Order: sequence, then C-alpha cells, then structure tokens
Amino acid sequence: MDVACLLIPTFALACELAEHPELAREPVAMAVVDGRTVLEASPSAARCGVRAGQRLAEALACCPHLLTVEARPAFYQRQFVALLDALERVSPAVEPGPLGVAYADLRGLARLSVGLARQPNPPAPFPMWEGGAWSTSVSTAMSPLPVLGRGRGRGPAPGLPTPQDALVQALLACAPAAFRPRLGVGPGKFPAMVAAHRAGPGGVSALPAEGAAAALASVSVELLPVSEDVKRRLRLLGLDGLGALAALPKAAVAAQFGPTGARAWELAQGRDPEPVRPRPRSETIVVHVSFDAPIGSRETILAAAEQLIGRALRTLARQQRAARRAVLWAATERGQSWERVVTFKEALSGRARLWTALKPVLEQAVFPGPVAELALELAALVPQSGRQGVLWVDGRRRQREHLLEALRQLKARYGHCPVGRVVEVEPWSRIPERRAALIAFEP
Amino acid sequence: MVAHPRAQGGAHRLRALNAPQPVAVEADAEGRPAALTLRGRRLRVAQVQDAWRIDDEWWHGQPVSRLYWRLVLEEGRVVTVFADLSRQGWSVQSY
Repeated sequence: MDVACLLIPTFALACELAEHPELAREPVAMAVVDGRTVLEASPSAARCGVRAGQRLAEALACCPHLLTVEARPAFYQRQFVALLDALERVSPAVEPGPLGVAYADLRGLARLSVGLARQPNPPAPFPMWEGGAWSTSVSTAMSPLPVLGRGRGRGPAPGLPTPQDALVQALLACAPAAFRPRLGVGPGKFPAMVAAHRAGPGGVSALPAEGAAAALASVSVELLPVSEDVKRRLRLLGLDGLGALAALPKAAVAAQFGPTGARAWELAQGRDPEPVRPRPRSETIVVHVSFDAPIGSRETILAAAEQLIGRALRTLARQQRAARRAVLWAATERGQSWERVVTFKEALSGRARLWTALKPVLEQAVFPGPVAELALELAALVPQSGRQGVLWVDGRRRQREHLLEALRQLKARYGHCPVGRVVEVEPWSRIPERRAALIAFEP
Repeated sequence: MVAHPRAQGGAHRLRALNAPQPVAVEADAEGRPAALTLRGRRLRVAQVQDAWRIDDEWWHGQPVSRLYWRLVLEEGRVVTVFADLSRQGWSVQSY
C-alpha cells in the first residue's frame, strides 16, 4: 500500500455546509451556483434531477425547492490549500488532484508513526477487497490494516493499532469531520482513488495490489482520469466497466484511443506507475489590508494598493531580490472574491515600475462588490541583477542573452519552460526512438 | 535560506522523439499491409517500396522485434509502419 487518496466529494458544497451546518440538518436540495450554472449539487438535489453543469433555470424547474449558494472559488481554493498543508505535516509528498482530491505517498512513513499508534480503543475492520468482493462494514475507529491478500482475521493482534493504521487515521484527521472525508489506500494513485470512492463518509478503504484487476472490474469507466469525449466513446462501444476494458487486447485499445487508451487499459489492470509528485513550493511575499467598512471608491482602493506595494517592497529590498509575478486579490464582505495574476516582462524591484504594471489592472478591475480585504502577493522571486553595458556590441551574444531572459520569463509564467532541446542519445541505434530525445531546456 | 523549490530535475524529463504511434492496419493473406487508417481516414496501400526486419535488445527482458514496411499510399504519401512481432500490433513511425 504505497499511496493514500483523501477524497471529499462535492468539495465546494462541503465547504459551504461546514460554514452553515444548519443547512446540512435540513432536508433541502442545495446547489453551489457559479453565475447561472450549477457547479455542484447535494445528493438530495441530484435525486431530483439537478446535476453539475446544468443551467440554473433548468435546475429550478427540476427542483422548485432548491436552495442555491453563490460560488466562492477563491475561498474553496484556500480551503483546499489548507487541507494540503495539513496533509504535508503527515507525508512530505502530497500531490493535489482536482478540487477535493489529494494523494499522499506512504512509503517509508510507517516507522515515523509509531507514536501515533499508542491509542486505546479496540480495532474494527474497514472495507477492503477480499475473496472477490467488497466488504460492507464501515468503521471510523482506529483499526488495524489487515495483511494484504491473506484475508480478514490474520492481521496484527487485536488491541493497539499498528503504526500503519495510525498513519492512515492521521491522514483522515487532516480534513475536518464536517467535510465527511473518505480515505482510500492502494498500490497506486488510481487504485487508491477508487478505494476512496468505495469508502463511506469518514471511512477508510483499502485495495491491495494482488487481485487489483478483479477488484476494479465492477468499477465504472466514469472514474478514469480521461476526457469526457473518451468516456462517451467507451460507453458507445459498450465498455461501461473497467473489467470489459481490461478484457480487450491492449493494442486494440491503443489503436482506437491512442496513448490515452493505453494508459486507461493499464489503469483497468490495477497498474498505475505514476509516482506521487509533490506540489512545487515557492517563496512569496504576501501583504494584505482589511477595511473596517467595505470600500466602493476606486481611488481609495488604488491608494490602499499603493500602500501594499510599499510594504511588500520593503521586504523585497531587505532580501535584495526582484519579483517576476504579482497576484492581486480582493474580497467583498459577502465572501465573493476577485483575483488577477500579472506576470512582468522582466523581474522588477522598483516601486515606480511595479506601480506602472499594476495600476492599469486595478483601474480596469470589475469588483463583485464593495471591497472588504485587499491583498498583494509577489512571487517568482529572483536575485536582483544589474544590466552590464558593453563597449563593443556582440550581436549574437546579446541575442542569446535576450533569448535566455525570455525563456526565464516563460518559466515564471507557466511554472516550467515550454521550450525543449533535442539531444542525441544513440544516433547509431536501429530502433528509431532510441536515437534522439527531447529534454527540457533550463534557462 | 531559499526554500527548496521542489522543481523536477532534468533527467526524468527526457522524452523520446519519434515514438511509434499505434495505427490500425489491414493486412492481406501474406501479412503485407493492404490498407491503413490514419486520422480516421482509411487509405489503401498503392505500393510497397521496401521491407526490412530488426531484432535488437534481445539481451533485455523485452527484446525489440519489428518488421518495417515503407509504403506509398493511394494519395501519394509515403509512410513507414511496422508490425511488432513480440507484442503484436501495428505502429507508424518515421525511419
């Protein structure tokens, strides 16, 4: 069991219900609405025919008593980042998936969780694939993980849970109970995600490596990490379950769907070799200001933003660094948010040039309401560099320097350099794909 | 101290160029390609220009054994396909 998947279905709705628990107790249908489109729907709303992507008018026609909540994407993203930060205190390798899904690498962590294992309370088994079927009991208590492939009842001695169980429960505890998280454990990211879907709210489920293909046979192709078009084509071909997909020859699936189909076939076999990739962390400087009374005047907002720039630049100057990117963020008193990312043509550290770049963005911004909080984040920090003039102009050298600077800007903009370099690997090889390769160009 | 950027290193970002792409090929009774489907279009083979076989990396766990065909399609385009003799299946690849 190498990978854990923490799943919070309908994450946006879970965030809203956590803030308004009285709504969770009410038997009402609830949908998070983004503009005029339904973003997520509660199970009771789904039973009435409300679904994600539906127009609001259509949803209200299906469910006249539907309660709607205006979406707050920036708030949900911050909640998700807080969840990832909590997971990183348990496992150093945490990879974010879509909103509400996070993967954690469990390799080598069992020894670190010995302290967590010293808990009282008798263990209780939780669902896992054994003997050709999923078990139905659900437990949220501390429980020992049964030994893989050897059936229930042959795991660790009852009494104290093992470090492995303590680790799994620590991961589950990273999300507030009000979010009703589910945890799945498996040999790879996709099996762990399927196991998480099988777990009940607040529960844990495991999918062992042995017999993974049989366990996944009854799983719908809707869970595959492929585009909606590929899922539609799979359904048209009568391939509704992963078992039907796994039964086909791999070459036939690859010929029909290309590399995406080949990967889907591998996942249907229970094989997911993709490792958990930790999210990149970069240093940033964040400054913010809150207003006692929400501000609607643009001049006041501009004055506050100029003040924020001054505060951020004092920290930047102390570190003798420059910033390649800035993020402006504003929130209204009703919880709605506005955000803009500005990537500069070159790294900036001067007040005048920074204000010249950010002022037009604020002047043209359309805020969703009176602003209650304003924040500025300077990111992609680099050491300050001067411009060394040359007496004799070397055209080719200057061109290369400009090219390298442009590539650094691209990397700051996209997070990676989109330009590659061809290198010869085995030019003498009779196998064509061995002769040359594309390597990322690091400016 | 500057925080570790956790940026992915360069080594595992090496991507093979000219990787074979799976393709649907109709072969005749002798195993020679008669037609293939490229980008959803079925194209008949007008002429077989050349055929050769490579057997390599037999010392690895997964030897490479391919029968290449250089074909002229009915529209005049020249493509190279190969039949993977060890794993079955056809692919198109420049040679």
